[in-house]
Amino acid sequence: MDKERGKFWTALICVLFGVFGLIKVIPEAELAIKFLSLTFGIVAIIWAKRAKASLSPGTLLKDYTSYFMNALILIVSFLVWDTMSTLFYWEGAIVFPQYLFLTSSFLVFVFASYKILSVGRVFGFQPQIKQMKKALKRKTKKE
Amino acid sequence: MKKDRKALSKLNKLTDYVALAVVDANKYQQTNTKIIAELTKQNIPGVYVTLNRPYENVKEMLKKQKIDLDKVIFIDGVTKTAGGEITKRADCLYIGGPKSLSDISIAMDQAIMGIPKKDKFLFFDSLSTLLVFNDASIVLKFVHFLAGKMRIWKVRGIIISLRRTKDKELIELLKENCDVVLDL
Repeated sequence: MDKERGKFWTALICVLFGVFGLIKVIPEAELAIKFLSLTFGIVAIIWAKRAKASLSPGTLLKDYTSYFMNALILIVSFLVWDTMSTLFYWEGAIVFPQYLFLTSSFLVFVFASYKILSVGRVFGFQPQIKQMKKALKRKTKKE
Repeated sequence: MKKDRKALSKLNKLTDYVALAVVDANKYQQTNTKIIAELTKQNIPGVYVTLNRPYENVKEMLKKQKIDLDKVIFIDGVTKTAGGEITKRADCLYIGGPKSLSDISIAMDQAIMGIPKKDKFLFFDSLSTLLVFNDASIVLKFVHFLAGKMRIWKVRGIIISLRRTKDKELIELLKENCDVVLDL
């Protein structure tokens, strides 16, 4: 438990130093926020990739993780494009791919949500639990 | 018979534990039924994970002993489903095969956490089947995870293993993860 707490505080301190560094290096607040979001997005992709690698192939959870990871990749792609357009003052048609990334990411999120809905349906035991509650009550009454 | 009763009564004194039951192949069915009957008689609900016999078979066996099946949630990892897909029926969740360890883990977690009573059991049948379909190192890792989960859930956890010479080494390693070892 202490080791876990230690890890948490170390990570938090690192993040705070990172944020401080970003603000110091990048004077523009908008860009600093974009870079910060980008680092969070990359960390999220790395963790999702690690989760996917450790799950058994062909399982519902692995499918869900894949969709989730792809949606994250698309969001990060959107952010990369958006940051670049801010950095290089892009204008006109070149800006539009970022919206394509964003819309696609939401589309993939829809699939991910549908997958998690199936996970909920399959792994949800509420009907059985209801039966069980009745059975347990029956026994208590008999006693 | 007397030995079995003595071993099982050892469990009754405990409220949450991880027990490894090493069972003789010839009385495997009888022992399993006896353990479930003993638990449900005490009004303890639980989860039965079967990787060895199909759910229909287990159900018939338990019904014959007049065990109230409503107190048990069944997870079947042996019956082959169409395309090996997870299939949910009213009385059982079919995982599709004993290789899907992540699906088995999620199903167990959901079922155990859903049970409304504090005192509950998890019956895992059996380690020997897991060994047929998975590497020994994976099984060892899985049982280590399972024993840890059983402690977090605070359940009466029973892991069945057949007494076979080829499983002997693994059973010795697993004993370290368990609170009680039953020789049945």
